[in-house]
Amino acid sequence: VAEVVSSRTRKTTDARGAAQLAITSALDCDADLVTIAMAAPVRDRSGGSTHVVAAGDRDDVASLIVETVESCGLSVDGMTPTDTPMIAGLIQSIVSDREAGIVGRLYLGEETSFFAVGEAGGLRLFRRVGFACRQLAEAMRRIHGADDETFELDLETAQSWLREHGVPDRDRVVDESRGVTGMTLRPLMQPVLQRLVTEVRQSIRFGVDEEQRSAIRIRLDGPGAGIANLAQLLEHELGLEVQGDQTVCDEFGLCVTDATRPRVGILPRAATRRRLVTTVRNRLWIGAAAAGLLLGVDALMLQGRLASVHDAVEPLRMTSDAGARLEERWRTVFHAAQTSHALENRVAATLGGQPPYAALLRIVPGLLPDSVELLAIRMQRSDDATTASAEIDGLAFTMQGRSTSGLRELIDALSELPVIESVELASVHDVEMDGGSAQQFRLALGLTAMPATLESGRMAELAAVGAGGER
Amino acid sequence: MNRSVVREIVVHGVIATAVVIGAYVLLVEPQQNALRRLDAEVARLESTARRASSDCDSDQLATTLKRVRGVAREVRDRNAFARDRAQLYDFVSELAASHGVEMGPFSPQPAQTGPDAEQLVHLRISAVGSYEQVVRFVDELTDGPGFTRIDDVLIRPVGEHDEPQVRATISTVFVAFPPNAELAAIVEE
Repeated sequence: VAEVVSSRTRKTTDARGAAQLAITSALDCDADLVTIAMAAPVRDRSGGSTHVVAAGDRDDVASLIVETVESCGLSVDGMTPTDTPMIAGLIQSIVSDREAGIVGRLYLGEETSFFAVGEAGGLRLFRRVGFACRQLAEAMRRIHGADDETFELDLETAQSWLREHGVPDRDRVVDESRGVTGMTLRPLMQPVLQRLVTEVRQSIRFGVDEEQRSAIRIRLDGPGAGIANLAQLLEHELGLEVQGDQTVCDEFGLCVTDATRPRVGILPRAATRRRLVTTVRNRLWIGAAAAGLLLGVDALMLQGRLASVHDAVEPLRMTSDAGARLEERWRTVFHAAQTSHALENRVAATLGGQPPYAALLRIVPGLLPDSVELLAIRMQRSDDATTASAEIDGLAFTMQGRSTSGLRELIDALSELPVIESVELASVHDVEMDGGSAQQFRLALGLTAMPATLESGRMAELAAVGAGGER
Repeated sequence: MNRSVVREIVVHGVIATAVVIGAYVLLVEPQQNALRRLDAEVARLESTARRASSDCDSDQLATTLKRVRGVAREVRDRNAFARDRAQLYDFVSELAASHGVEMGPFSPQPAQTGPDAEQLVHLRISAVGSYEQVVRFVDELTDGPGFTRIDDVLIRPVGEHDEPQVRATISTVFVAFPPNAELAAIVEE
């Protein structure tokens, strides 16, 4: 069962509600049992209102159809009410014809017929009409022949006569062998045609203002539009301009193609939910698979990057290990150098400063004037590591022929040695010698001690004394 | 919408999300962590290599090492001299003989231990010879093979000879420093 609702409302939700109410009323059932599909919301140019075409069916009927199909191992892709394409096409032709005045479209179908009136792209009237081409053919089947013999046509023959002769004139011979003429068929067709005329007339009277009725131009659509003489008959009966259309469809029956099939589907709620669940579930898993694929690609890229970093790390690790070993070696050597330095300091502290013994012993005799005789030399280191002391005991002769200034010369000569810091005459006294007299003296020398090192002591002494004089 | 439909969709959503999270945890996260660790290691290795190349001059290292080894060897060798008392006496006697100096008797004293655990061997030497011989003797003694500290030298003429003779009285200390394992290891390398 399909129902068409024309709703003048701006909001689609309002239109849907109106359609649901209308369809519930038409189907005489609860709203919960009605399945509704929106067909074609169309905006009216003149009023700005929205026309909604809705198709509905009882949910239990639709569910039964779905169960039947699914019990055969098939799945239902969609359910479209058979009238819906024709209705949608009819309304579409009216709302798209915005330039024309008030027009009527009469769709004469194989099983059902519709009548719509529109004006300037707006739908004024839509009604289901109690006419069907099959109904007309059925009416032609029981015929009283010329010899008053009654016979019954099969449906195919009746349909072929209808397609070939249409609504025949009274004197037109339809089947010469059986004496069937227009006079025979017209009375059979008359009730059906009369009902069509009546319903169209009443529809116009119901839906169109009186002053506009005479201006309606009606065009026939559908398989019935090709029935010969039907347009003329309607024009005569209605008193309006009626135009047939032989090009609408060559055959009786549904004249629906994919191009003309409207997107109207009536599926029970359970099937819709299943479809929604399936769709969402499939998309979820497709999304999950896509995410997994991306993660896999990401993992592969990471693996590649890891491999490249691994390759780079190995030589770097060798370099770093070498660097670490070098650092460790540095630390070891540095620490050893510190230890060595500490040891050198200990050596220096333990050995202390040494007076340049040998160098002084070599130099001092060379500094003695002829009048001075050496009696003893004593050198001592001190604990302060930087100084040392020496004592020189000797005799300075004062006899004739010998200089009495020898002691002074010796003191001066010693004072000029860089290693000697001070020279003091510690004591002096006259002594009598065989053949003369002399001064016995003691010189106290302050010396610069040579710091003890691990280097050659002799070379250091020579450098410190600053003279290489030997006796 | 029917509650069961919502529940079914939510269940599938949770499962799909769990699968994706599981894939991330199993496939991606470990590798990301490994990559982070590797990056950190690379940074550390680069830092170590850079620091080693900038801080450690191999020429300077070789020079320092050579010097430390030289010091360590010399200390080791000189220490050995003072530790062997017989070798020490032989050295002094041979040194005196080589310079023609007549040695008096040694007056050895017991070895002492210094404040830094060094071993101190005090020896008083009396040597008689010509002035030049004694000076050379003192000179060689100062520059002997061990750590030698001469505390006191007294030279005075002795006797009446054709050749003037002097007597040198020398107070010496021969030192042996305690062995150092670190320096020994450097020498043994």
